[in-house]
Amino acid sequence: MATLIDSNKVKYLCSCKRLKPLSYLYYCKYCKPLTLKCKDCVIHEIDQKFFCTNCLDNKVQKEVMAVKYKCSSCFNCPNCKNLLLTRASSVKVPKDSAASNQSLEQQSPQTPQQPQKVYYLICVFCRWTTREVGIPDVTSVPDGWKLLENPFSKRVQELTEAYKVIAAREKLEKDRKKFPTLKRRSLYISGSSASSSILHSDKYGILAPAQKRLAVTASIGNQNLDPQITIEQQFKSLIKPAETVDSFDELPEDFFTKQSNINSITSITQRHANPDFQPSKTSELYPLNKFYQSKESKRCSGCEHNVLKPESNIISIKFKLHQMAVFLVPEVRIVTIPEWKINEPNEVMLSVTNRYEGDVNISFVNLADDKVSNLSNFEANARIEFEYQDSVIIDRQDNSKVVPAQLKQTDEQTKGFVCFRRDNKIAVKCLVTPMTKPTNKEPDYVKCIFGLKCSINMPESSSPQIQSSSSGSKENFTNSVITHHVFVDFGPLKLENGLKVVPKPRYIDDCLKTLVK
Amino acid sequence: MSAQIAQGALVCEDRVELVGDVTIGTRTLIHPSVKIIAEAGPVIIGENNLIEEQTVIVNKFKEGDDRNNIKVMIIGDNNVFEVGTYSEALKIGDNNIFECKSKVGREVTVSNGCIIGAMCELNTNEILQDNTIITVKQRRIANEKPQSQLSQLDFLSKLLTNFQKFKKPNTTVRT
Repeated sequence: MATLIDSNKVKYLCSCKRLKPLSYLYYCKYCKPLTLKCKDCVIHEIDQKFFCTNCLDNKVQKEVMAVKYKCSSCFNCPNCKNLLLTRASSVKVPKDSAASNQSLEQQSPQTPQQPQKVYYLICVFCRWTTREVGIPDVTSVPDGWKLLENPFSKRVQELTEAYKVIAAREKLEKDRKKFPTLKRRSLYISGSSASSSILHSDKYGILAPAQKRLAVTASIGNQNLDPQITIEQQFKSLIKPAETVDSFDELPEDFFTKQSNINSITSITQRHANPDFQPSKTSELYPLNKFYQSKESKRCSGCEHNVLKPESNIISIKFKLHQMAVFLVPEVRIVTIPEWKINEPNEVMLSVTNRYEGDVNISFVNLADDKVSNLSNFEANARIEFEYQDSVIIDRQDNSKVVPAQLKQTDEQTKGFVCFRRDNKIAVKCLVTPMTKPTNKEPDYVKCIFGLKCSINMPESSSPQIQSSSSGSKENFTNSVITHHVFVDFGPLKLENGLKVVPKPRYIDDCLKTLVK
Repeated sequence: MSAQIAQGALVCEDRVELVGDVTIGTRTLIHPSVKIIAEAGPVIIGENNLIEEQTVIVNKFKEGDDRNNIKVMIIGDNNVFEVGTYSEALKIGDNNIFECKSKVGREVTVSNGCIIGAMCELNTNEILQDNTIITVKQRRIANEKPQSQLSQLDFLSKLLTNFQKFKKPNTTVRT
């Protein structure tokens, strides 16, 4: 899709004053006026449902945390990080072990042999296989592959437990500071010891949850409530501190005498892909478990309405709510690029595509010397002029049943400003004048800004609750007018290094010819 | 000099260009729109090779080469040239796979069991070790040679006979 490839040529101004290509923007229909939102100014929410993108096995967060977010049956290649495929091959094994012993002894070729299916993993991109590093083939899939045990897992567990104790103590001390007087504190903290505690006079069990929680913190805190012992001391008593390594084994003799083979050493990315082991030789590579992923929904930061909401079904890639700016704001693209003449008007063609479900009236606004011109280091250095300032109608995408815009608005009305019109796309002519800088130097790039004033009919939507209650009644349409700031980067002023003038496409020429007739 | 096609070799007629002294071994399958050009000396292709569409195999002079110094290009057995391969390598051993759109220069000697990955361009002056695997970001040496493509070759040679015209073999099998 050309939108994605050349997405950095034409940018729109987001409500957070950043410049983003249209395909990266969302809109919020509840904010008045309609605002564009980019990924930096929406609230991201992660779904609680986690799934493996390969086997689509889904789990809730607690389950995934227990397996460290790793899928047990899907693997990535440790060499190139692409997906590993399971491949079956058959190995001939003797019919039973007794027979095999005999055959070894007697060396008889007639021992009955029976093919057995074994599986190994292969990467179709770099042809890495598990056989290459000597991982034995398995006879059953998918549970045949066992995870490697981290040699330091015991230490890691000890550390996490020690930190849990420390965290509880820190929380307790914080609570103490909150209630400085001993009397009040005793109400909350002393727990089991103080008979006067209000928690113990809780006759009706209303405070039971709070009581339980406090009892836990108190029990941890009571162990080492002596303020003489600092946190550091307590930590040291809980766990053996790490030892500094002073001496290393000497390098083997081979290291100096043998020629090093760079192919047998892993790259940094390969090492970091497996942080538990960080293999340094290619012979130590082990298949990487695929990680569980989850879907993400986005909310408007202003009104907290959803702007993007995926379907909860993990197999589906569709959206429940899908407010991408592409479906509301007309998309501007560069059609032609001329041989630039500095300080002279150059004729350039821009196309505007409407992907909204209704017709759109647009008009072009000159934004000379506006405040926005210096936003986000854009530094516009060209003036853009539109000969026709009134509104132009663009059809909606599916115009099978309505009057085409060409009939509503003839080309005489637009004075030839619209030079191409087909379905939901028009092309317009404009004049771009690259200006010399104040220092009399020629600019390197041609960049300009203009305003795109769109007026669309939108269904009235104040809030979803009201909508649902008034369903069945006629939808009210309101006409909303928004001016979008469009930042166009035409590329370098001097067309060098293989850059060429982009002429008018043939379909526009054909269109013009038919108009003349 | 016309090409010598051994008995049992399948060379499609459709847009296949065999220029100069080209020898094609038995059971080798050449798909349509393949170019094999023997400009700077003969090209000898062994047995059981699979040469797919738009492959170009050229034995040509480099700039500044002595035009009288003729070199023979020898391609071994059981090699696979996938779609769009370009090869100038003078010596290619057995069981190699050239993936789609790979490019091999004249100075390279490809030994046995090598895989040149898709879109990889090799213009060095070297002898590739046996079972070398070259992919876009790295190269390494595999433990074993790649899987044999003979079944694919058999399948294709059965299938293609239904749809393609073949050039007639004009030499008998060497004994």
